[in-house]
Amino acid sequence: MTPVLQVEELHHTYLRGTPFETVSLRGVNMEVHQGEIVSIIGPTGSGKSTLIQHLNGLIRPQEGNVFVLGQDLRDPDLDVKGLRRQVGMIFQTPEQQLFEQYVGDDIAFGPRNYGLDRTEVRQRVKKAMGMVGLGFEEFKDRLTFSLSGGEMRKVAIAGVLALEPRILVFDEPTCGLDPETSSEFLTKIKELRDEEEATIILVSHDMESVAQLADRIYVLLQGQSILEGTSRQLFSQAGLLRSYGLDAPQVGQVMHGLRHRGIKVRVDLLSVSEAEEEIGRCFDLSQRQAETGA
Amino acid sequence: MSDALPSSGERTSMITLESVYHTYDAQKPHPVMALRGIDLHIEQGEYVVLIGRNGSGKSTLAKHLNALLLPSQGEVFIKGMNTKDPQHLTAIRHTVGMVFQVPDNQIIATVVEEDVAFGPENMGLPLEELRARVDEALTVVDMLDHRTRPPHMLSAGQKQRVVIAGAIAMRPACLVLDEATAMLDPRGRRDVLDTVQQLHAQGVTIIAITHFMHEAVEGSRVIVLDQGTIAMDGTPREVFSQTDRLRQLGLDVPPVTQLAERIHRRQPAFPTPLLSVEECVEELCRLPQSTGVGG
Repeated sequence: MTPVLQVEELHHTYLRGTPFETVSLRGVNMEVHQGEIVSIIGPTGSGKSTLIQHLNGLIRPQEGNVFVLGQDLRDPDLDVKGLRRQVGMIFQTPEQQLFEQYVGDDIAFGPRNYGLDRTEVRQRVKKAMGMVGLGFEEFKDRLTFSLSGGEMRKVAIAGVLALEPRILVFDEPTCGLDPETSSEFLTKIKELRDEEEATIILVSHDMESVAQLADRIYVLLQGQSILEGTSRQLFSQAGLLRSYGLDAPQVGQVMHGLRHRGIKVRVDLLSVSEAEEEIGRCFDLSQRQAETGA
Repeated sequence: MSDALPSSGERTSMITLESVYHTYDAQKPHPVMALRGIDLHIEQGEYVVLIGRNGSGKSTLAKHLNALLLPSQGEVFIKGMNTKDPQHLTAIRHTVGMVFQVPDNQIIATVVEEDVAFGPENMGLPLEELRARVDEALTVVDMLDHRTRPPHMLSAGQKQRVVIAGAIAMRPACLVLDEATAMLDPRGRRDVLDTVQQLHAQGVTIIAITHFMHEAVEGSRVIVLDQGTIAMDGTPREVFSQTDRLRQLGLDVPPVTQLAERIHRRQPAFPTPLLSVEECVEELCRLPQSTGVGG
């Protein structure tokens, strides 16, 4: 099966040919298949945002290739508008992209622009608002700029979801969301993949979200893709990740700590439940200990 | 920063809120009551972490602490100065430094060191003092090597460190961080948290807003806001021992605390709540190992 997204030896330099030249990408390779959730992690400044801006043609490849849904991003005749309908981008702090006075209008802006009829627009807005947990009746007539930061974020995300793109790129989607909203939102992202067969690219510094969601992970370092693997493979290498300015999720850190103390536990665990099970296997948790202890 | 240090044993008031209400769009058809009667007292040298779901009033509260917002009702005092009194405005802004989530909104200059120098320069400091403060602040956030770069060419995390440097260069007695680590990578977060701990150790009062529960455990006091009121107020251990209550409030406990709680349910001698990875590893190592495992 051909990948929906392919990046080959991609290089990018900002302000090329000026004294302020900054090399951002120096050889990135990546392949994503239909229906995958792939996470891109890397320290700040490693080129993650530059990379994803290539995926809907905001930046064209200077060197190397990018193919998205069969389209060559180097092609000067590329249908950029068409591409942007298929690749939805949700940037860091998308709330800065809001401009309509009322919540409902802001979310409807994209679908209306694509000439969909009233009923279809309304349906899509309602569905998109449901996906981010904003009640349609409660929020559609609220003033956009009187919302809290987190609520604005949801509105902005709903605006992209209403376009029903095939590939969704999330740059730090849960940044600024409270734990409940954040966990609801991660569940929704998973549903977009499971139910709508969307392909998801997730850029995040939050290793807990990445561990919870990603099928595979690419690690970027100084503009290069240096590691690739399943979440389990990558997060079992906590020491290596830490040397890159990253880390394993907290439960993984606990398991690594135990391993460090000479206890042979598995270190490739991603969730609290998995860690509990492994600890139950390695330690004697019988009640009798409690009695003698007390 | 010696002037920020309270003398031993003496408790000095830094921030006092007396039944503070704040309503946005009060004259419009959809007024939003963001704060509904907050009474709060913070001593000099405390490290307070504010948590709460989106829309609970955290950022609104933060903006009252250096008079960016004034109460619709009630009073806010910073070191005894009422924020409603215009003649205290400059003194209040010198006392309380603010760092917000999105660094781009706080960066104004075209060169890193000029941006950091902007605040202290406006205080009318002599050039040498200014130079020293800027270099010191950039060293604390580890951005000295980038001092001549244009800020817009930096990564989000690097920009945030520049903003923090700008706030530190003012040597405020109190620093308010509104989700300042939200955009940073794990190491960047650790660096900022270590910087904050270091400032706290020097006597700076810290008010930090975060959605990361594992960061909230770093404070000396955790305050939970819900619908514009204070729902919980205590030490991290007191607050994070109430998992169910926190979940009702849209929050959670850190993964490591959840893990400890589950082990405690199976083995009541296992202590709970545990707040850090190190603590959890330490306690697990006290448990007897199953036969055939370990080594």
